Amino acid sequence: MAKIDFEQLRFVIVDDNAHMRRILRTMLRAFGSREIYEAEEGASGLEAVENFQPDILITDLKMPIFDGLELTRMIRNPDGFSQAYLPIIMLSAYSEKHQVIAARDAGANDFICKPVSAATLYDRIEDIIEHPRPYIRTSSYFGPERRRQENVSSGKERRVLDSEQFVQLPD
Amino acid sequence: MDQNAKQNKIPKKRLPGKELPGKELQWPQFEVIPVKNNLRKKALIAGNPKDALSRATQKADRAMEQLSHQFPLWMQKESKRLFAIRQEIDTSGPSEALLDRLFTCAHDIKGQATTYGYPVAARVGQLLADLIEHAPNPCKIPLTVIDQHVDTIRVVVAQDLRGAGNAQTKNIIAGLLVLDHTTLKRLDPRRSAA
Repeated sequence: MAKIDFEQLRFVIVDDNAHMRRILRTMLRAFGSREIYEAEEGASGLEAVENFQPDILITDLKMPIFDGLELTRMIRNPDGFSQAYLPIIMLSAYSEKHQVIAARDAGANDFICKPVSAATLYDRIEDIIEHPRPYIRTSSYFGPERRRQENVSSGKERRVLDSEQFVQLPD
Repeated sequence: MDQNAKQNKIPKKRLPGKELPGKELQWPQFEVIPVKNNLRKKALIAGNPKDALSRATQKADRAMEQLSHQFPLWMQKESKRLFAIRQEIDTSGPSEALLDRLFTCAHDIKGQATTYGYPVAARVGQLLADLIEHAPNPCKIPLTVIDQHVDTIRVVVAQDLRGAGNAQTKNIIAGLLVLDHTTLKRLDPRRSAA
């Protein structure tokens, strides 16, 4: 059995509301994290990610000028950004399905609706660490696999891939 | 091929192709990339995860309780910010920029007021944010309708009305719902009845 040692984790919090940042910082400190950096909008959030190399980014969705979706898309650029695989938790007062889908399609690992509770925040961080998902790259998407459910089919595997269709990736 | 080589290989999967008129069959490709973060190695240590969750959340809840003495002040600041923007609309007239700021403030109240102990204010903030977001032209929303929302939030905060509210606040929220629906219908006659 294993538990999370938050002292080893570094966070960046991006939210235009100072009170919200204070609440998140309070929760993360209570969990045990000692390295928490903050930014109040997307552009300085991107800078903070580059400078502080966090383990997890927690960002608000709606922010002026440069919002959480744009921040996530900019990070999810494996050819142009050094931390394209950074786990990202999107936080928002939005709870509508299309907003959650937008966050998912931008490349966020998870989505938490405000008001946020300590238990929910801990649970999502634990999930990111304990159950990392592979990343998918297509012509229009780069980010964590968007399917959360395992294939529950019990039928025979009928897909047949021959050896020519396997590609050796460099180490 | 040996076992290690096979484990390192990523199948280039073929999805069902699309047949386009006059063109070759198009096969969308995707790449599955194994996890690159090493957080498990870095941050997982021996221990009981359920105990750890329980201890961490209890500690966080205690910390939030200590912080909560600031919540009424924070809620007053949000309420004042909302009112200040409303007054700016009176001074300068409604504009896209001002309505956007009003939306942002209402949206923040929606997201945070419950944490501060004012779920009624959160609900009214949500109604105001939804009204502005769904209006085809937010500048055309009657200011008297906006005032109903802003003033309700101000009263809730001024009278420190915490908790889920009573029958009166429930009636006020029901009234605001009907008002918002009627307003949106008037602004956009194509909008179907709920």
